[in-house]
Amino acid sequence: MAEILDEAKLRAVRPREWIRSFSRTKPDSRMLECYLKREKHPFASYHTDLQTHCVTRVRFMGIGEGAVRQRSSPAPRTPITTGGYVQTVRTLIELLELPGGWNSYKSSPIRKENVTFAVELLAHLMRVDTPAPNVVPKVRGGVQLEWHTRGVNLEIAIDSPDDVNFFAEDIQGDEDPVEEEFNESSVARWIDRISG
Amino acid sequence: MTFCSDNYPNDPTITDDTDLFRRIPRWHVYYDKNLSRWRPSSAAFEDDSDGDPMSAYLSSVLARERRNPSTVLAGHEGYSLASITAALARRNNQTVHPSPEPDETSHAAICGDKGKNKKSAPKRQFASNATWFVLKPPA
Repeated sequence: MAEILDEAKLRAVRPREWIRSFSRTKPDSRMLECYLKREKHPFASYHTDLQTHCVTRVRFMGIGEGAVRQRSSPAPRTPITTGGYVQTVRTLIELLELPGGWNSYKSSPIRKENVTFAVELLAHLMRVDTPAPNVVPKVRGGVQLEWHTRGVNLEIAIDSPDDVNFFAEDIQGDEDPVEEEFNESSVARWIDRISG
Repeated sequence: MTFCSDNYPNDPTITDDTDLFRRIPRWHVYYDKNLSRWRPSSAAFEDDSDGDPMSAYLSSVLARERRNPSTVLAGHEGYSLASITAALARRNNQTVHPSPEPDETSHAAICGDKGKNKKSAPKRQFASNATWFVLKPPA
């Protein structure tokens, strides 16, 4: 965690929020902050000089501003205020504690950068009415986010922040399933279909 | 020739109706609202982190040894046990290769591309067609 925080400090030309201020109300940030500070967890707590600001002062590595701009969903995404998001973050953090061989076969521990990326990705993508995804560890240290609801199967596989793919299909529609490199605008459209 | 046919050749004596059992950790079990049932994630049907092919346990060997399939869960508290057929594996371009281990004679290797960047990825076919022998839904 320390290296992520160090990197974030170095890159912080201006304070940028992990959960962006334009999209998150204070109580929501406080809720997450309290959760992350409550437990001595490697995800957020080891860097003492940033500890009290761990949520509001640090932008974790990962998604570029370009990715945010390219999204073209019909309406601005509402801040994520649901317990579903918090629970998802909690589950992602739990994944960091899995030891090697967690699937009873040969599997690697889950890598921090993938969890960090997933947390930030969901902060971008999820709407207030988006159901929480199923959070799934991958054998090579990645994470997978899955929704199977409203006739849609959506999977986002994060093998590394540079290697993210998604699969989406409407099981009732005529459209061909989609499996391609992550594209935020495309995924946001699928998220819209399962939200509400 | 491919890596799999060279190193883990398909064994035609394993019939298509043979079940291939695989342990599923609780992380890979969730409720699918589209299917209205518990299912394993496609992430449960990937090759090992070191590149070795996916492991499974052959029902034919277990039956020959008069063992209940759930014996492959010994020492793995909280795991579920799912199966796919050898036919499904083969239809998805996998080889089914017996690979007995000292502590598990029914062990087999299921070798082949599990399907990154494929719309009909084998791992997804396995996940959606798997049947539960032991299901332990997460709490």
